[in-house]
Amino acid sequence: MIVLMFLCLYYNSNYQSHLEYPDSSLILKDYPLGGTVSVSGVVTNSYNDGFLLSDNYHGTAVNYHVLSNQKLEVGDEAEVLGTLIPNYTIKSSKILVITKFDYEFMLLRSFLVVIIFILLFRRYWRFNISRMEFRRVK
Amino acid sequence: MPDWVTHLAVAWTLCRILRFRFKIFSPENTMIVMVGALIPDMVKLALGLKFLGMDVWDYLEAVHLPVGSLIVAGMMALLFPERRNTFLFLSLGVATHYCLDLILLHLAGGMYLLFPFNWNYWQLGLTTSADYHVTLVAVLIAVVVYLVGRLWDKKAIKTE
Repeated sequence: MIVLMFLCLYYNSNYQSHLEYPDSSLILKDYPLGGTVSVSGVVTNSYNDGFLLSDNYHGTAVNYHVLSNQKLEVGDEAEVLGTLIPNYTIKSSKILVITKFDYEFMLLRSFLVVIIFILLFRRYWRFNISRMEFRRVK
Repeated sequence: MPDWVTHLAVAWTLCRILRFRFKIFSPENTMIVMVGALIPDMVKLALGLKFLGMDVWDYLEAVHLPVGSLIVAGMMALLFPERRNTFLFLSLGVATHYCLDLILLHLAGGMYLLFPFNWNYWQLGLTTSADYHVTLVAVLIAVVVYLVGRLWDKKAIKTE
């Protein structure tokens, strides 16, 4: 448990310096104007020249105006690679989209399969509280 | 990550195929491998904590890296009677998880497979996490293996 805690702390204090492109955490800390950035979030509005992408970093909401020809729907999950220009605007070069339907369908089937799996697991293993361990069901 | 249907289907399929040759991959142990296949996604607990106002994603993300997942597998193995074997089964499940996650497409970066020793990242960039075609293929293969397994078991009983 202690090793895992150290590992988590080490990851948290070092991962930003190993990112291929700055993400929201670095954009908030040190706005890399003119640099390539990689951000992700939910599409909250769609315009003729792009869309509004909302991200949240440690409770701080960040809204990016992404300039793009690609039409996205509100609720879609998007990952954007592009150049950061003033006012949290990004001139996109690549966009990866997971539509709202695909995302919600993924969550739904994952949730359902976990319930089925728990039932299946209980067919073979039961937790014995007094011994604090799982026992095979005979 | 691909969805949990894919992770569980691939882990189950692998164990069922191995059971043709190695009896140790019993249904009970297959369940443990399947649990292992979900261990890296325990990082999703951070999403639940986020609703409670605690944003710990950046900390817990180490659980979604091989070393972190193996440590969690080691801790979970303590809850089972045959700890060494359980750890190995959980580790096999963890391995299937990362093999599947490796195929995912990211616009930047990838997976830090050798963290904390090396920060190089890898990705094959073949599909996205919500692509249900991957799920369909995984489930289809699982069904075929299940049917073959049933025939195999019936044949084995007749031979005995």
